[in-house]
Amino acid sequence: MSDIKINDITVFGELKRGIGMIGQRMPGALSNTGSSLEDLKRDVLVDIKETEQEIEKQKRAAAQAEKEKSQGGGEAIAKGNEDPRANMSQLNAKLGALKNAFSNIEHLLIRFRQVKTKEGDVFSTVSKANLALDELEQIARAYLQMPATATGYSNSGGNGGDGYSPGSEIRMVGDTFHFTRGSQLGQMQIDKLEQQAKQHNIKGNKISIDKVSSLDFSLLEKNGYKVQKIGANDYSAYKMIEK
Amino acid sequence: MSVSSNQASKSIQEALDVLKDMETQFKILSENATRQWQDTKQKQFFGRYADRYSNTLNEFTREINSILGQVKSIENTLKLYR
Repeated sequence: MSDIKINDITVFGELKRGIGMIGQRMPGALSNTGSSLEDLKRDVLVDIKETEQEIEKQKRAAAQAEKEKSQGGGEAIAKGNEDPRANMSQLNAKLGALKNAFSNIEHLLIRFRQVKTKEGDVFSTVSKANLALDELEQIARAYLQMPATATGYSNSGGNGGDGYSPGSEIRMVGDTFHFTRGSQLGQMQIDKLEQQAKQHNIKGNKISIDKVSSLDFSLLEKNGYKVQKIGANDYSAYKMIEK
Repeated sequence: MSVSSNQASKSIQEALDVLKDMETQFKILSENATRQWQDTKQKQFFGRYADRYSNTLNEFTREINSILGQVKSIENTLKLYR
């Protein structure tokens, strides 16, 4: 835990928002793509059937023309009428293109379904990722002893430029950066405290943590703090700030 | 002629735009989030975590983009028979 160093705890919420967005918007986008392909496939299939029917019609017309030609011995196709054989040639080319398109769309649908299966994998990891981020945020907040909405220290209070209001957890009094130990004291809190002192360019010489417990002594000493007995079962710890 | 390939490519293009927009937004959010870490190793760890989703989104975008390209090609071929 001592390694956790972040500038802003909103890091978890930001990433959750991004991952949540994927879970919300992706299904609609993919579903639209799939239904568009299905519609296109259906339309091409209908066109194939209609074209086949039209080819049959032209075949009959061509046969009729041949029959009339053989019976009449002259030109079967009157001027201005379309040649059924020419029409058939065009329709056959179109049918070929449609069948090719149909086959391509079927392949696209197979590819699309493969993409869709990955969507399920994404959703299962979205919920896991959000749970993990929630847990990380809770750990970080507990470590920093931060309420749900506070992400920093008050910079208001009008107390003449020290930057900390009298009621906040951290106070600047004289040359000392004071902090009162809460229900928990961990490495992350100590790191945050020292980081805040540096960031706010505190014009002090010392960091003081009040109301420390005997259970904290080893952690505090490890971090270079000196424990000071104030009264019976009443201790503080302090450390000179490195300039 | 009942082929509605124009409509299909338009609809797929809209879906692709949604995916691209998501990809851009997620990239910004994840980069902002990753930047908040001070420690380089944690930044890298957190970055990889965010990258997984960026890569997945990118994969979807590429696939849909490729499908759109082929649908447009089908559309152009069938246009010849109008």
